[in-house]
Amino acid sequence: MIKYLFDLVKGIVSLFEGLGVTLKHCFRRPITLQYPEKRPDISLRFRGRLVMPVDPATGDNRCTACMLCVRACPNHSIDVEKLIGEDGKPKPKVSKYIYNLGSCMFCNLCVESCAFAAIIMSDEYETAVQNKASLIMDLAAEKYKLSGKKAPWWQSKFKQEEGA
Amino acid sequence: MIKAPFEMEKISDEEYILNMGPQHPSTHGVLRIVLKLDGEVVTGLYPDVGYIHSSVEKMCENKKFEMITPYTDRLDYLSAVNYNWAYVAAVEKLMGIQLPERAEYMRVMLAELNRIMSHLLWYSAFGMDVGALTPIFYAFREREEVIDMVEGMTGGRLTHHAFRIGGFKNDLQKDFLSRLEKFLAKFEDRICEYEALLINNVILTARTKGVGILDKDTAINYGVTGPVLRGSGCAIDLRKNAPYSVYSKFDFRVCTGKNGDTWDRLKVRMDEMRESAKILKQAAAMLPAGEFCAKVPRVIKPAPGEVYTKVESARGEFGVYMVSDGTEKPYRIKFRSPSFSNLSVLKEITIGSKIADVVAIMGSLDLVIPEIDR
Ligand code: SF4
Ligand code: SF4
Repeated sequence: MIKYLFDLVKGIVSLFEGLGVTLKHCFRRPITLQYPEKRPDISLRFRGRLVMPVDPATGDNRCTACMLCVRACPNHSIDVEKLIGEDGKPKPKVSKYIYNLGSCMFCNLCVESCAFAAIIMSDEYETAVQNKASLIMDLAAEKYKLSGKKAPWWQSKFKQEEGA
Repeated sequence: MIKAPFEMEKISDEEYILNMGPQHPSTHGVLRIVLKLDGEVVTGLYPDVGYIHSSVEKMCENKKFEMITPYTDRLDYLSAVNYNWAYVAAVEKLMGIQLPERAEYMRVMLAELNRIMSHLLWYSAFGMDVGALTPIFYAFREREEVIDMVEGMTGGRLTHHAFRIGGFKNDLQKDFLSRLEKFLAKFEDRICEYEALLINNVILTARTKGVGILDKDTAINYGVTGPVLRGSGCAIDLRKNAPYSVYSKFDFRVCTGKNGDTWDRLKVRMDEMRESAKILKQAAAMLPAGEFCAKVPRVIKPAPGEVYTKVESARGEFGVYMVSDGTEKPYRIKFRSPSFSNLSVLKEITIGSKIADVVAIMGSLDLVIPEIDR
């Protein structure tokens, strides 16, 4: 009997302990974000979808179609086609850069392998599309303009590689 | 669809068969559990795995060594770093790469942050399983902070792809340590809050104490590892018993339970978060400066041979057995995943309990399905 009463009191105390915790939170500031209106602060190294930004200095991308990224990709999400010049010889420029967002697993290996810093993982995380075909995109034709805090980072990265 | 052994035989009129899953909220993934019930009491149980089998091991045989690391992330998306670690450690061992000191400490820090992340998710999911809706909001608040920290460092939120063979690709970001310090300062209090909210709650204790008792011998016989084994009172933790990396330099306790019931397993995980916070504090204080990546040859071609490495992941011992034949790709990779052995013990501890307890017991095992199916 005594044990029963003791357990009862203990139980009620434990319930109030829990309620106390929730009560405390009534007075804390909310940490939630009103998402579509307010955007979270994305960290610099965040890996969104792959983009091939346009270099503002030249107005073109920096890809030389060296195929290093194609070879580094574990699941063959990238396909590169070289530009064929008017004389019929391949040029160190890319004509088509096919990227399959559907099979990409955002591992960053392609970006790390590129010696020319031609590609970068952007901060785009809303990559849902309506149909499967639009998951396969041509990054060279896209002429992506990098903005936000990734842009100066990318610029400095590419300067480092060039300067050193 | 595979039939459970007892589905073939004639069962008595009193009993019936119930499918839990493959799409059941409490199985946290695609796992089907066939239950034989007598009224509300479970008399037979058969876990049917393999719904999301992706043949990761076979895939890895066709990839170069450096390409496999992101695949190990996906085995357990809740503590990905530990799984990276076992794999890269295997390659490093085969190639005889010595990591710089800083890289080792960074690895320990990320692994412990991952353990906290994983345990916090388990805590909220377990709360949901047993019908408590509040814990998830509380635990996810802290989890978000941890994820943000790891994301800032590695770039990925869950599948970090943090480790490379030989160390890291990037150094810690500049504000990592200050954020870590800020987080750890309040985390201790938060764990106490979690305990007051759920673990010590009288309703939860009534539902979990004495339920799903797993004794030491059964646990060892089934190859159970991790918090489940420690909940049964067996103080085995690879970080202590077979210290890898720099774990021998830290002062922490191996948390154990007494009775091996569901509640003990919960308590062990809560205590483990405290210990992880302790390790993080020490690691942050001891973090040396210097290089964060060893010199690694451009083409990774380990010498022929075989190797087994294991780490203590958030769920138990994760091991990688790898055979190399001297080419750029591994000849064979075998993953020893903790959830698989932990699941196999489910039958032993569930038979005889009520159907509602199955959910609680399964929650306390903290299963991650991709890792079971691989
Ligand atoms: S993106 Fe970089 S690695 Fe890929 S083809 Fe272009 S220059 Fe080469
Ligand atoms: S991020 Fe990884 S999977 Fe995606 S395209 Fe680059 S290498 Fe391939």
